[in-house]
This record gives sequence, structure tokens and C-alpha cells, in this order.
Amino acid sequence: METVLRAAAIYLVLMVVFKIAGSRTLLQMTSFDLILLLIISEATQQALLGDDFSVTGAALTIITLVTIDIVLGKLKSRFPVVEQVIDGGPVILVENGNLLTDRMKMTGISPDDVLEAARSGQGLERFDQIKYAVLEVNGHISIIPRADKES
Amino acid sequence: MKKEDSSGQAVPIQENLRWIRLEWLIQRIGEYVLIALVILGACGLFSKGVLSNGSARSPDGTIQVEYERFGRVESNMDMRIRYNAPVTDRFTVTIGGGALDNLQIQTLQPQPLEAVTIGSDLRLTFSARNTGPDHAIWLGLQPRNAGRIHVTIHGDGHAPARFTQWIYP
Repeated sequence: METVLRAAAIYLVLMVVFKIAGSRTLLQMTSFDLILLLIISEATQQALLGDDFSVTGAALTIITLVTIDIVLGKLKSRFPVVEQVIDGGPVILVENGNLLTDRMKMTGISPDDVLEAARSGQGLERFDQIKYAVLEVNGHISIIPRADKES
Repeated sequence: MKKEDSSGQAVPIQENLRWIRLEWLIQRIGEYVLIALVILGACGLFSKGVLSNGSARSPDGTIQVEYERFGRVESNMDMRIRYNAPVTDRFTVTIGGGALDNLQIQTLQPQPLEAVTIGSDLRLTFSARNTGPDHAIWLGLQPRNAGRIHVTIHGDGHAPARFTQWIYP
């Protein structure tokens, strides 16, 4: 019982914390963020297993975490509301070259981030070359170039 | 079905639909197995929970033991021994049946006046001055080996309480 509750509690805490941190943490993964992730895994390890050194305990912890993931995945595909709450949805940041500043502010994406994605992905330099810039659920910015400005 | 087969031959990709179906079936069944394992784990099939709480008493009712049916190697488990002793200055409780070959005592409350071994049994003598007949002993144990452990506990010369514990690896 204890093992299952520990795993479920850690899963919940991590989900809430990373929901609050937003998808930007994944988008802008600096070397410090990588170290932070390593420290987080180190800190959760103690709380997950405690003084349990048995194979059964580790197996039950892994099974619990994976099962919560499977059940949440099933809930997401059945109820779109759950998916919106847990994963969020895509957000349009630039439409036909116009910056949608309100949405950028809410998602914490700066115009520079959009331009960076435009340069690295499509080789575009200016906002008026962008038809749509979309912040996807996985934290990446998709750039769709304007057909007439392309060359 | 037929269309799938023909398209599979037209494209130069070797796909084995029989194995893919088998894999899909295993995944479907496996999901339910995993959910069942988590629910059983939450109920205490793998120690600490409703399914794991056991109690044993000796035939004459002097010793009553609350123990965990399921334990895990190298992880802690608790045991409580209740003893209705004759009113004297001291009483003894003997833990035996080869249990201590596999169980390591981490904590023992209260501390005994004397601990002696008889064969592979452990006899603990406790003080009982100016107390009633009811006593309790709390043990924190750690299993050293996986498998079935037979435990017998008896007080003074009374008949023992017998039970077994299953230890997961």
C-alpha cells in the first residue's frame, strides 16, 4: 500500500509542478535545466523507495508509475477536457505576420523565441514571412511560412 | 483485410501482421494485468496493507501476535506481541521455529532484562514489577532472505502461537 501511495503522490507532485512551470521549461532546455532535472530525479528517488531495497518494491513502484500513465492516457483520449487540463492545447502566436501579444504574454514566449524558431527551422528572418507560428503541446514552436514570401 | 495484405506486398516493406496483432493483444491484456497489480499492491499483497495484516494466537489464548503476512527482503516490517502473563516479577517470551535465521531484529521495545539463546530460539526475559497481567512487545524486523518463514512464539511454558510469513525477493 505504502509503495503505491508514494509513487502516486510523487507523480501528482511532479505533474502539478511542471504544469505550473509551463511548457517553456522543455522548450528552453539549458545546461542548468539538465542539471536541475538530474537533481530532481535524485531527490524523488529517496521519497519513492525509502529504505526498501527489495526487487519487488522497485518493480511495484515502476508498475505503479507506468499504470498511472496508461490510465491517464486512456482518460485523455476519452475525455478531451482532461487532455486540455493536463497537457494544454496548441496556441497560435503569430497570424499572417501579426504578433498576438496577449497569447505570447500568457504562454511566456517572447518574439525573439518565435524568430529563433523561424530562423532555425525555416530560414525566415522577419515576422511578415510567417503565416502561422504555433506553440505546440510538446513545447516546440511550429512555423508555417507564407507561400508568396517564400524563395 | 484483403486490401491490407495486397498493399503490404506492393510496398517493399516486410511487415508481419500476425506478430503485430499478437503484440497488440499482449498490450491489451498487459494493461489490465498492470492495473490489477497496482490495485493488489495498494491492498497490501506486497506487504503493508489490508491483505497483509495477520494475527495469530496460541491455543490457550495467552499469546496474541499481530504480524505482516507478506514482507520484502531488506525492508522493515513490524510485529506486536501481546502476552497475558501470570502476575509475577518477570515474564519470558521465546521467539523460535528458526525464524531468527531469516529475520533480523532492528528494534525491540521494551528492552529485555536478559536475552539468551536455546538452540536457535531466542528467549527474552522482561521485568513485570507492579504491572498488570497484560504486556505488549513491539518488534521492528528486517527479513534477510526471500521465501517462507515459520515463526513460533510462546510465553513462559505455554503452548506456542504459530504462523508463517512470506518474504518477497
